Amino acid sequence: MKMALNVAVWELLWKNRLVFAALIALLGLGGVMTFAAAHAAPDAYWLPRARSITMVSFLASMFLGFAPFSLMETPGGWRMNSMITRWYVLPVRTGLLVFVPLLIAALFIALLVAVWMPVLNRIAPGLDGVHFTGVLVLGIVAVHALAWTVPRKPSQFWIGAAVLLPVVLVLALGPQDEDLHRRRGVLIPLACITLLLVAFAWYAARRNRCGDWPGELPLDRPWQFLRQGGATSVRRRDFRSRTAALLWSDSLPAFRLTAFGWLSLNLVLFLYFSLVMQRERPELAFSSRLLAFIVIDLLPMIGLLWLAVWGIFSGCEPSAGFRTRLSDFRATLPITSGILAGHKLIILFLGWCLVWMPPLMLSNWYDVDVNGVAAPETAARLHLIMARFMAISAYLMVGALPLFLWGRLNGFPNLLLAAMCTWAFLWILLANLGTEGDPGRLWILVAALLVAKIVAAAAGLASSLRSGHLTWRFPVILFAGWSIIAAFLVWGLSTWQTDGPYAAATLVLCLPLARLAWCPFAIAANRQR
Amino acid sequence: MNASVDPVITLEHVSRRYGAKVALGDVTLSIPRGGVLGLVGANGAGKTTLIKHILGLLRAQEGRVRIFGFNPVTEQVAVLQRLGYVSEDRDLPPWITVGELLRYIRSFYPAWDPDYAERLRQQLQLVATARIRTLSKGELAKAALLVALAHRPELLVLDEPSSGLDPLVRRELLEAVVRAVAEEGRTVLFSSHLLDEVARVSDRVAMLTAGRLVLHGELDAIMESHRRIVVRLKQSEPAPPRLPGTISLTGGPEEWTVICDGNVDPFIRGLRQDGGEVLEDTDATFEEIFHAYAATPTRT
Repeated sequence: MKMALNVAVWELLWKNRLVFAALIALLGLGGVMTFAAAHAAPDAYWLPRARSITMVSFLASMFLGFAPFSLMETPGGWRMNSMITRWYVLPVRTGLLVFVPLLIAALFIALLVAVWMPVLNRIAPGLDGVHFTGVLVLGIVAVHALAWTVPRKPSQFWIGAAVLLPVVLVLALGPQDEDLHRRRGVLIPLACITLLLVAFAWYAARRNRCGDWPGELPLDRPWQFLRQGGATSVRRRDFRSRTAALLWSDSLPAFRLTAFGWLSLNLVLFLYFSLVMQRERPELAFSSRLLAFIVIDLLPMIGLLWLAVWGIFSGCEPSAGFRTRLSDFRATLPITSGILAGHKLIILFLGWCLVWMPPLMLSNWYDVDVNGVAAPETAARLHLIMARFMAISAYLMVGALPLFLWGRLNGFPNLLLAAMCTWAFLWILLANLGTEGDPGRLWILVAALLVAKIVAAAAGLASSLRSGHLTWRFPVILFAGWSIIAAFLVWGLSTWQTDGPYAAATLVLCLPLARLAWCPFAIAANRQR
Repeated sequence: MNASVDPVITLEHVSRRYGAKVALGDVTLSIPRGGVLGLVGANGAGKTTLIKHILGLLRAQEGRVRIFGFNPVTEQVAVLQRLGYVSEDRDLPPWITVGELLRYIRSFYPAWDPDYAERLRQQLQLVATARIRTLSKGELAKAALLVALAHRPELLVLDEPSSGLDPLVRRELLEAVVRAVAEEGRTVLFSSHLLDEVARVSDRVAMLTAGRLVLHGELDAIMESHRRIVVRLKQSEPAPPRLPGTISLTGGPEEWTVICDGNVDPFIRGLRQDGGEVLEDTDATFEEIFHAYAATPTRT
C-alpha cells in the first residue's frame, strides 16, 4: 500500500505540481470574479464577462484536473506508454497499482468540484454538485480503464480520451432532472458503470502485465487496410519515376485514410441531419448555414488534393517537429513531407470530429428550453456559434500540433492534454464572449491566436537555430513567403465580402494550408547548411 | 565466484509463439547462484522475450518459469524485490532528477542502503541534481544501472545494457557490473549481441537462435571444446561433406572450414577415411562459434 502510494505521489502529484499551481490560480481567479460580481452594481457592463470568465476557469480546471491522472507518458514516440511499463517492473501488486492512483484521482476530482461549488452556486444556481462529481468520477475511471487497456498504443489512448472528455463534460453539464429524487436515482446506474469500469481496469492491467493481452486494441489490420488496401493490393509493376514511388508509398495511404475519414464523417452527419434534425428541427436541417458547414468541411479535402501535388515534391510544416525531422530527412525530403502532410490532415480530421459532435449534442439538448417549448431562435443562434467554433477549433487543432511537438521535444509532460485544455479553454471562451453581431471582436481573437501560433513557431525556430539544425535563411524565406500568401488572402477576402464570421473562418482555415506552399523554398534554402 | 546448488533461474520447456512465429521454443535453462551469464543471439533471437518471462512480464504459454523458486507472474513482488533490471530502452521517468529518482526508488526496497547508493552514484559520476531527460545516452545507461544495483539485488538482469553506447561508457558499465558481482556474489544475466563484451565478462553463456537454446554452458569449457579446422577433400564437392561433430561448414568445393565441438577424433577419422586431409587445426574464436550456431538453428 505504502509503495503504491509512493508511486502515485511521485508519478502523479509531484510530477504535475505545476498543474496543481495552475488549478489554484484558476480557483483564485474564479473566486475573485464571483466576489467582485457579488459586490458590483446589477447593471455593471462587465458583469456577464465576469460570469463567463468564472465559468471558463471552472471548465479549464476540470480539464486540467484530469491531466495529472491520465496515466500517460510517451517520451520517444507513440509506441509505448513508458509510465505503465515502468510501473510493471516495480515490486508492487497490480491491484494496488490500479486502485491507489484511481482512488486518489477520484478523490481529487471530487475535492475539486467541492471547492468550486460555492463559486458555481453564485453564477449557476441549481447545478447539482453530486451529479456533476458522479459523472466526472466516471470519466476519470474510464480514462484509467483505457490507459490500462492500451499501454502499448498511446495513440489509441489519446483518441479515446479526446472523444471521452468532451462527452463527459457534456453529460455533466447537460440538463439535469428537476426532480431531486429521480436525479439521485441516476447515480445508481452511474455507480454501477463506474464499478464495472474499475473492475475492468484491474482485469486489463493484470492481463497486460503478464502479456496475456497485447496492450493495444487489435486495430492494426483495419488501419493497414485503410492505408494500404487489402492483401490483394500489392503492387507488382515497377514505378515509372521516383515521384510515382513516393506518391504510392507516402501520399496514397494518407489520401486513402483521409478520404475514408471524410466520407465516414459526412455520412454520419448526413444521417444525423436527415434522420434526427429533419424530424426535430426541420427549419434548420437544410438551411443555408448547414450548406456553409459542408463547404467548410470540404476544405481539408481540397487541401489534401493540393498537398498531394505540392507535398510530394517537397515541403514541410515549419514548426511541426522540424528539428528532429530535418536532421533525419536530408536525403528523403519528399517522403517526410508526404508523411507530414498526411499526419497533419489526420490531426485536422480528429479535430473536426471533436469539434462537430459536442456542439451538435449540446444544440440538440438546448433546442428545448426549460419549459419544454421549442426555441428556434436560440437554436439558430447556437448554429451560428457552432460555425464559429468549428472554424476556430479547426485552426486551434492545427495550431496545437506544433506546440505539442515542440513541447515533446523539450520533454514537457502531458502536453497534448495541455494543448487540448488550451483548445477547450479558448473554445468555451469564444462561446461566452458573444461575438456575433460584432465581427471585429472575432478578428481580434483570430489575431490573438495567430500571435500565439507565431510565438510557438518562433520558440521552435530559435531552438533549432541554436542547435544548428537550421540556418537563418529558413526563417527569413519562410517569413517572406508566408507574408505574401497572407497578404494575398487578406486582399482576396476583402474583395470577396461575405458575412464576417465566415470570412474569418475561411481565412483561418486557408492560412495553415496555404503556408505549406512556401515551405519547399525555405527548405531548399536550408539544404546548404 | 562460487556457484551454490540452488538455481536462481529455472526455465523448463518454456515456449511462446507470436502468431506463427516461435519466439521461444522449448527452452530449458537453469542458472546457478553467482557469476555472470551472457545471453547471446542475433536480433529477434528471443533474448528480450526470455528476459520478459524472467521478470513476469510474459506468462509462459507452455512450460514453467521459477525465479528464486517463485512464479514471477503470480508472485511478482517476491521476485521483483530481489531483482534489478535494466531495460534496453532504459525506461526512467524523464522529468525527475537523479537524486529524486534514488529517493523515489528506495521506498520499494526494504534493504535499500543509502550510503551504498550514494557511493555508486559517485562511482558512476552522475550528478544528483541532473534531470533524467537532460542526460546523455551513456549517463542514462549509468542511471539505469545505478537504480538497478542500488538495492543490492540478488539477481541483476541487463537487457542489451550497452546498445548504442561508445566503447568508453561500455567499458565503464561492464566494470561496474563485474565489481558488483565480485563484491557481493550476485547473479547477473546479461543479454547482448556484442560478442567481445560477453566473452570479456561472462562465466557462462547461453545462445539463442530463432527462439531455441542452441548452446549453454561454462564459457571456458565452450571455448576449449570448439575447434576450427580447415580441411582439403580428395575430390571437389559442390555440397558440404557430412562429417561427425560438425556444427558449420563453409567454403568449398575442395577446401572447407569446419567448426566442430566435442571430441574431434571421430571427425578427423571420418575425414581421412574419405581421403581428406587437415590443413589447419586451431581454437575457434567465440565469434566463430556464435556464427556457426546461428547458421544451424535446430542443433542442440
